[in-house]
Amino acid sequence: MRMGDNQQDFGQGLFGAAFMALQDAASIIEPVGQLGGPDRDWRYLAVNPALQELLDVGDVTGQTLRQHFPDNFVKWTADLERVLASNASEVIIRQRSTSSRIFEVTLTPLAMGDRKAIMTQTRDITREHTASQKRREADARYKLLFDSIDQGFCILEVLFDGNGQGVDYVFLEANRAFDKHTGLHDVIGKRISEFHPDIENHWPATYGRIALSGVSERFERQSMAVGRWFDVFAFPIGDQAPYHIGALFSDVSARKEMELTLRHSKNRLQSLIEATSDLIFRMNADGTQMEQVGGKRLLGNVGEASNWIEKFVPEIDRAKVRQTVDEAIRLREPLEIEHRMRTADGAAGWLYSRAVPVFGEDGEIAEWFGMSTDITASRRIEQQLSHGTQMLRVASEIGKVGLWEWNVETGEMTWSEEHYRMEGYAVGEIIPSYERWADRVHPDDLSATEAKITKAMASGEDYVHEYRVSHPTGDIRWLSARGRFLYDEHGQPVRMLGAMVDTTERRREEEWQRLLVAELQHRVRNLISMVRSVARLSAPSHRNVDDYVDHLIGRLQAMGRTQSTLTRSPGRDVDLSELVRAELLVHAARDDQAFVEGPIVALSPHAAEIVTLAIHELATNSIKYGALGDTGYIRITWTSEDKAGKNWVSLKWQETSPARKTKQGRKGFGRKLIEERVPYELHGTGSFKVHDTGVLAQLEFPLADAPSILETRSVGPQRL
Amino acid sequence: MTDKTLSGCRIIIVEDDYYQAHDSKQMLEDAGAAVILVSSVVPDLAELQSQGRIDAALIDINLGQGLSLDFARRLREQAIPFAFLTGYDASMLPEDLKDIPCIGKPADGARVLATLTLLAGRQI
Repeated sequence: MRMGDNQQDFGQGLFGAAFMALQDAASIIEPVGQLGGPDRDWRYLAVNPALQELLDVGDVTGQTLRQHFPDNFVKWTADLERVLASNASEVIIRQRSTSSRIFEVTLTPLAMGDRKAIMTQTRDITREHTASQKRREADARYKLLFDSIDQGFCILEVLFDGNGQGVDYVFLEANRAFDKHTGLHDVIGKRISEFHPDIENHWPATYGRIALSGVSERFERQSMAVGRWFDVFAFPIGDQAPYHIGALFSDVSARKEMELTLRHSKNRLQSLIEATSDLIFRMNADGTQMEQVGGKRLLGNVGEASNWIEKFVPEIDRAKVRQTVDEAIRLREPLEIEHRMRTADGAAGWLYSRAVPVFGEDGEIAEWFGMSTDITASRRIEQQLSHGTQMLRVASEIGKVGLWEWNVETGEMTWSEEHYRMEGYAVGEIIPSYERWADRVHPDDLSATEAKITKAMASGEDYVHEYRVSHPTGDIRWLSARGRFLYDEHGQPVRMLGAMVDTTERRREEEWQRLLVAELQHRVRNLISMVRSVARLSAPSHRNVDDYVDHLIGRLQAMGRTQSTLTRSPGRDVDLSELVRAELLVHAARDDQAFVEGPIVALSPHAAEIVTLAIHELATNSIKYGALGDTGYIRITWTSEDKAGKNWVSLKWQETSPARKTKQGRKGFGRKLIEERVPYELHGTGSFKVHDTGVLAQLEFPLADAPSILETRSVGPQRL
Repeated sequence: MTDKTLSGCRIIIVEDDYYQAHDSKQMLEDAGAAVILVSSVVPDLAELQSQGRIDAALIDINLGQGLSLDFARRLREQAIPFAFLTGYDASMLPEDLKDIPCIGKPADGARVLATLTLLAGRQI
């Protein structure tokens, strides 16, 4: 048969030998039977040993496919017919039906004249196939993974310029999340510049750098072109052209914005804390540890958390601060306290501290947050003020100065304590006001005083005035006031401040002085008058000048003695006994010549003057004519008794002398004094009689009860 | 003083100083006046007037026992001219009596006389 012939032919040629020697498993197969007929089959023309080995069959040359591989006949027939019909070779990969091996079968049509055949080349690709299968599965899983993650992922190919600078990139792959994170769609195969022509240079530059360096980078960057912030992890894929980059990224715009906002507000807060002139601190829940967290270093370099109360609060205030803190902790309320402090370098000062509790989730105080303000300066001013106020108060009390402040706008008035007293009020008895003040001003002085105040208010000049006030007790006091109005920027009077002193005493003293001067003048003039009168009255009784002068001088000396007695003890009455004895002593009367006796009697200066002069006259007379000039003696006695409600003194001068010298008939100076002046000036009686045994003189007069103002001040001053 | 310018003049003297009173009386009488009263205390004016007219008065202010100012006011009410003779200064006089002639002590006799002559409406 022809087919057998052909087989023979093929196997016996040189080509046949080569075919049989091929490393690859191969066969040549030709169709038999009618195409499409029931006997259609494929007969092996040649099967080389490699194939026999591969398929683990013997030499099946001459046998048909249906005979040998009935199970695979249909499948393979379709392939073979197709190749035969198309006259184009095909590669078919197919798992062997009897094992898990996978073969790659290349079917190549052959033609010799009108005889047609097909060469098969079979290769066991089980290993390759498995590997690629695995790779495909991995790829699929990988794809699934990246499609399922929230982050964006893409693979890029970086495009460089001539200088090795990345200038653009093409998207090779992108996961599903990519679109969400970038806002871009259908990017595969497209360049970034197609979407964002204004894409910042740094993007391709960065990817280029990563690609060339082979070092992955992580960065967070804003793209103004895209309008988003990205958090990117980019890594190189492969190390040669074309340079691919994998990029895993997220759109972090929202977070970034929040961060920025937060940072700004934090910055603002921090700036505030740093800029504040207060000290910002936190304190632990029980208030024992504190640390400065910002603000001004009011306490100097305070170091880390410590017990500030121990460290910076002086002992004097420690208990108070501790107590305030404990109380705030107990009440769970903000604390507030002013206390002394000592800075780290020892300077002293005052702080005003406030702290608010910060509550934890359990509702308990977690810590305290607070601030301290340096109030040293204001404290100092307050202290100075209070010191000044105290000084002013003490000074005004000691100086008896009454102070007032009048708020012209509201009518409110403030008086110092002394002011109340000056107006005749008990301290705090009434609410001070203009009306209460006016109530006490003496009615005669009120209009003038108000006019002065009105004038001072209008002119801005100081108010200086002295006026009387009437106390409810009837007391009239003089007040000397000085005040000043204060004005606002519009020139409206707003306040009046003033001070005043009680000048009643000063005025009384001045009045006294004036009266004393007047009285002195009066007395001096009277004295001169009297001297003149005495001189004149002395004249007629003397025949020669020497005699006259002696007498006159004696009288003037007696008057002078009275004056000096009065001057030595001004304002005091004169003891009669003392007066009499002194006068006798002046006239050198011996003790055995004079007997003096009488009760204690105090004479007014006026009476003393007259009695002195009278004793002088009697003594002079006695020396010249009577007892003192001889061996006689004198009894000077007096009594005092009440007569018609007045105390009268009765003084008797009685001489006992053996021989009286010539008796004078004329009424001399001494006699006139006793008989006329005593009644006239002392409103009493006087008698002067000369008996044989001597002179008997008697003076009786009431003791005065209203002496001159110069002689006693108890009466008080009087204006004429 | 020998002119008797006060002839027929009825004058009272209120003066607590005996010597001054004495001097004044002497001087006025020398001038022809009739001194109808010399007193160291304030007299009862009505009673005095009942005894006859008073042409002028010379009064001291401080009478030791008191002041004569009220008496001076009564004199003025009665239209009796008067002068003060006093050791005090005229400035010490109260307002309402400031216009009263005031002669200071020690008394200048001529001045006392001239003043009273004027008061009594006599020509010197």
